[in-house]
Amino acid sequence: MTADSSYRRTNLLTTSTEDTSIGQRTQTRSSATAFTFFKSDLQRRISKRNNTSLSGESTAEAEGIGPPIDRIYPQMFDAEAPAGQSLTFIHNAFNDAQSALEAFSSPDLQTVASRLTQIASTMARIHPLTEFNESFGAVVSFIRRATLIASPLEVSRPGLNSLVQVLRSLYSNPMMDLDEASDLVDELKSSGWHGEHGVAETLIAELLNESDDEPEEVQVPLFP
Amino acid sequence: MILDSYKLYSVVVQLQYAEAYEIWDRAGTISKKLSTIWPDITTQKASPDQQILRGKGVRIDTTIKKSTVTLTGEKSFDQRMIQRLKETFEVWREFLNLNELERVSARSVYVKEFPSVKEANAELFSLNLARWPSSKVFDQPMDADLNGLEIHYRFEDESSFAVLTLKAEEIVYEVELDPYFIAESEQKVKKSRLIIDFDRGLLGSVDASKFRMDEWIKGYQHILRRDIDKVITKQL
Repeated sequence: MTADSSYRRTNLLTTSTEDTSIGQRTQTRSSATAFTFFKSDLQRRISKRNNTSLSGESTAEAEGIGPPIDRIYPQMFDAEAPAGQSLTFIHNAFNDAQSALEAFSSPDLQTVASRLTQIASTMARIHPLTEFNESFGAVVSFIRRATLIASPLEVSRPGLNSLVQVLRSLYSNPMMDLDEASDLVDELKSSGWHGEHGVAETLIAELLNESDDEPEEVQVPLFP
Repeated sequence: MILDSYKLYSVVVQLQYAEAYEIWDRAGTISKKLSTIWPDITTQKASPDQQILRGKGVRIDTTIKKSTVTLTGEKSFDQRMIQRLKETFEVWREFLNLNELERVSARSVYVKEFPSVKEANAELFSLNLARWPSSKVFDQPMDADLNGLEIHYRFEDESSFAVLTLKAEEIVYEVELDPYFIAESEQKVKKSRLIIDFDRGLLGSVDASKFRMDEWIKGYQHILRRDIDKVITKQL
C-alpha cells in the first residue's frame, strides 16, 4: 500500500498541513470548538526596557525588543542545573564587583582587594560548571586570572566599571558565542585587566596541582 | 509525572519571519541541503512560494513567511531529531537570509489511548480540571458517550506564550484504495485517546543569528516536564 498514512488533523496542530493523498478522510469526534490559537499573528510592539540592573538586563535582549533570555533558554536559569548554578555565582560576583567599585570611591583599597579575591574564588567555582558553553567559560577563566593577579593599587575605576559590565553581560547572555566572548575579554583588557599573564597562569597551574615545575621555579619570575 | 503514561505523538516546530524573497532564488539549494539532513525525504510540492518535502515521520514546509518541521512518532524529540532541527534551522537562516524571527514556536502532542472515547473522557473528568453540571443541561443526555471536556490553559504576555490543551477524542481513519489492486479496498480504523497538547512560543523579535534551536528545544522540554504536574495532578 503506497497510500500515505499520515493523518489529516487540521483541528489539532498549530501548523496543520494539507494532506493531498487521494482517498483519505479522517473524522475527529470530540468537541467541535474551534482551536483559536495565537493572537501572535498580530504585529506586536514591545516597549524598550531599561537595563539598569543585573536583573533588569536579564529580562531583555540587548536591543530590548525580544523575548527575555530566560524565556528563550529557561533551562539555563534552572538553579539546579550547572548553567543555573553558574549564573547564581555570577550574580554573587556581580555584587562583589559593585562592592569593590563603591569601596574604590571611599577609597578603601583593602575592601577592593578582598572583593577581587572573592571574585577570583567565585570564578574558580564557576569554571567547572561552564561546560554548557565554552565561550562563556573562557570569559570566566579570564576574569579568574585577572582578578587573581590584580593589585588594588593598579585597579582603576574604569577597570572596575568594565568588570561590572562584563559580569552583567555574562549573566544576561549565558549562550554567548565566541565573538561575543572575545568582545568581553577585549573590553576587560582595554580597561587594564590582565588575564593572560604567563606567570599567573603558571602559578594557577601550580596552585591547582597542574604544573610539573617545582614551586621555587614558578616564583622566580616574580622576584627578578 | 503525568506525561510518563503518555506517548509522544507529534512535534511541530515553526518559524515565522518577514517575507523571505530569497526563497524564489534559492528553493533548489534549500531542498538539496534539507535532503542531506533528513534521509529519504522527497519533494511533494514545489511552487515559487512553497516547498513541501516529506519523508517517513517528517514533513518540512518552507514558505516565504514561515517554515515548519512536523515530526510524528515517539522519537520526535530524541537527540538525533533535535540535531536535525538545528541543522534545518541553520539552512533556513542562511539561505532565506533570516535576520530576525517574528515568532518561534513548538507544539508537541502526547496521547494515551483508551478502548472508547467515553473512557478517555472519564479519565479527563477524573483530573478535576473543571466543574461538570450535576443535572441535565441544554437538553442533552448526561450519559452520552461523547460528553466531554476540552480544556485550554493559556499563559501569554508580549514575549512568549504557552498553551496547554487537554481533550478526549475519537479519530476515525478511513482509506479507500483501488479495488483493482487491493481486495479490502475500504479500511477504517477507530482510535480513542486523551491528548495533552503543549504549545509554546516566543513572540516579538528574536535575533536569528544568535538563536540556538537545539537549546531552545531543550528549554521547551525542560519547562514542560518541570511544570506540567503543577497544572495537572491526577487525583488519587
